[in-house]
Amino acid sequence: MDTSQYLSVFMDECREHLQTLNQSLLELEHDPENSSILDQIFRAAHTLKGASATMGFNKMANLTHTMEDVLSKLRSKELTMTPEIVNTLFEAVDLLEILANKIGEGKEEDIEISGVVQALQLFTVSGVAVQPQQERRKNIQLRYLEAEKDEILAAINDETGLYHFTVKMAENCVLKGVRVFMVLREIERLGTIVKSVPSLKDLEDEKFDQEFIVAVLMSNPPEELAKCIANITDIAEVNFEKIDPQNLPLEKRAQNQTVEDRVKVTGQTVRVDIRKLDVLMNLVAELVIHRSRLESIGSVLQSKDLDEVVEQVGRLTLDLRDSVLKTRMVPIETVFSRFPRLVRDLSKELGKEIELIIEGGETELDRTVIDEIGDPLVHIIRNAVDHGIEPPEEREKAGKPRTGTIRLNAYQEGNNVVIAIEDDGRGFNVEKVKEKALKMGLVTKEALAEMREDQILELTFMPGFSTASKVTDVSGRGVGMDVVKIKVDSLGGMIRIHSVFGQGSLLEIRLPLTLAIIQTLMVQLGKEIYAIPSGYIEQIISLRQDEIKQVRSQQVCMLRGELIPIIRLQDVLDTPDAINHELEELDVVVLRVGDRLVGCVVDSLLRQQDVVIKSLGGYLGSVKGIAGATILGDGKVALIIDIRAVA
Amino acid sequence: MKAKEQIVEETKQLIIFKLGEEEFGVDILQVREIEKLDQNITRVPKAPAFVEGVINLRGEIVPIVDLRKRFGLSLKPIGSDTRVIIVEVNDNLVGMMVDAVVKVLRINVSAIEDAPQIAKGVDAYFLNGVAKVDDRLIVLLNLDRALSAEEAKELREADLGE
Repeated sequence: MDTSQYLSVFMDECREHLQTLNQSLLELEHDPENSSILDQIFRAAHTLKGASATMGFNKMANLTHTMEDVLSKLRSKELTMTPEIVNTLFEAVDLLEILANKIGEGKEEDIEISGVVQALQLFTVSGVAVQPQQERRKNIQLRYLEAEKDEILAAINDETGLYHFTVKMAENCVLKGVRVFMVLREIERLGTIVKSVPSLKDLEDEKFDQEFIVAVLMSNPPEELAKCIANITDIAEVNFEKIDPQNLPLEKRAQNQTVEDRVKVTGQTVRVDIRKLDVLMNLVAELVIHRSRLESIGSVLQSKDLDEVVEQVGRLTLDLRDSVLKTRMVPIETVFSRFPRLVRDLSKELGKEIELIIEGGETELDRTVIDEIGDPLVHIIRNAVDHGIEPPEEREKAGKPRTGTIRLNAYQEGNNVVIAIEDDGRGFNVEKVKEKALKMGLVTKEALAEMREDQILELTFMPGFSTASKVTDVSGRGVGMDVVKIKVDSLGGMIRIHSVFGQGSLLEIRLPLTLAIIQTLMVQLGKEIYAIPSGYIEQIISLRQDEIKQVRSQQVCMLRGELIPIIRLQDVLDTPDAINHELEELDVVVLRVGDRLVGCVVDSLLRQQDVVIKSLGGYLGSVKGIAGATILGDGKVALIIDIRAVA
Repeated sequence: MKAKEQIVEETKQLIIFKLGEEEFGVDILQVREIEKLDQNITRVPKAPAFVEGVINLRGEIVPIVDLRKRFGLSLKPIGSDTRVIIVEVNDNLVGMMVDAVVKVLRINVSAIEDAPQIAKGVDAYFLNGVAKVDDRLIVLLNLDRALSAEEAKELREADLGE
């Protein structure tokens, strides 16, 4: 069978399952008793096995099959979870990831899997039934939900007690369903069934092994009921215990709930090629443009009916645009989810104890931003683990808890999403940064003396900067932070550092919600119209020509007691016939680029407008000073200015 | 010449357009559409000199190349016959501004010959060959080369050299 057309779907699924595996394994490491997590891992491995076998990727199928063996023994409690097993499973998942990548390149055969397969098989072979039969009964436990507890407590009084009947069927029992029915009828005769494990429905459907537990409220003596049940054919054993209503075994409900929720969410999604969404976005953008045209025609014709329709169409178009934008949004969790594993591995490697707290994973960002932000975050977290958090002994000496904390938080703030990475490690040593910056010749001593602390810290974003005296395998090669800064800049974002030496540091990345639509100020320059992204605009001022002074080759003006440089936009954009030299009153857009303010003289201000950013296309590639283009209401193209290249 | 090898059939269809009095041909399979220039071209600062600017082609931004500038021919103002031939090169849409589009022509592949060093003032580097049809000579463009953005700089230098 030619499966090539399914390859991309397979790869997508593969990635999803690998992510689940990684994530769940981490959870399992912390909570080895939780069977629902184990179930999830098992399902993922199982699906992966089926899919890879169908696609003919035998190595992957083979590996997942071996994993499945181990997992199923863990589920049936024939094996108990040990750190070795978890580690080996992690190794297997890593190998699966490598396999998946190789499959993407079309060379699965290059990878050797026998080592890990053998390690896994060792567990299944040597894994003797660790728990004796008697112990195994504890596998099924009857636990109550918070809501059920209240009802039960209300029903219990001096006469009526709560009993758990554990019924075991004979091993060769043929008609289990019938026997169960008889047991239940017997119980109903003498008491009330509150709950059972497995559920009553599963019991009737024969979905259980050999034993089940029924919780019964009854005032009759339980011995009598036990005898009645034991008399039924094929019942091997009946036990009962009286349950103390004050000590009801309660379900760890919250956890189960989240697992269920997650399963539900994945069931309701459709996988769509991002290009299809791009096409949709383009169509909607067209619609928005034509809406504006309709509006301008409507205002000329002055027909009430037309106006009404135009307004309706306008509202719908905007709603449609918002919906399409929303479909492009992805929770940042997809990026965050790989960090627990990263931190776990790194801290083991470095002998540190680190707890990673992730918050705000549900915060949504445009898919294009999500794709780009992963690598910079990896850099930052690696830095935090390697340089930020101290070894446990050093922490104790400094009077801090042995375990360091890295807090990863994302939240929306207006039209931005803020990602904050905070650690309680040693923080930045400002003196050391100064020293290094001087040595590298990045700044002069005089300039340094005037800089605020946060400005000094921003020097660490310069290429080649690293204060780590020793280069480790993890980070500190002097690449990283500058790359982070460049990436964040290219996404139209900002990055800031706060740090208290000895107490920790906080990095804040501020990103636009979407790269598809931005708010701009339209300005006129000669016959041309340009869009200036509003995010950079500090304020708009009006100046008389004589308020602009010439200082050497630079034009400047005073703003709130400070001199700021003035640029004429036409000089940067080579615009012919700009008229602002001849005007008495000048419109100046004051832009903020990093810490600097720059006044930008234009001919006139037109309006504020949300515009859909379009690329100039691969043919032109990147043009200096231009961030993209947009289509105006009249169908004309206006260019969006790349402020960082201009100011 | 490469295109020649790919063609299995005997004939191929060309869009014939004019730059001045000379006729040029471009393979119809590479042409997406032909547009009248009824909208303003938005100038793109700092773009290569032969790029006139960009237009809005039903929601897509398409750069426009002035073929006269590209080939270093004398310039001519936009007239009523001026057309933009939208072609696809390396997955990118590019509009070629030409003086006029004449017709669609089917020619025999065997009629295509190698281009001389300079055909009708255009360097052979940009050409796939020339075709003799009746008693006319049609110059076949190699779009990948004629529009290649990578070689833009190189070419500008070459232009200066001539």
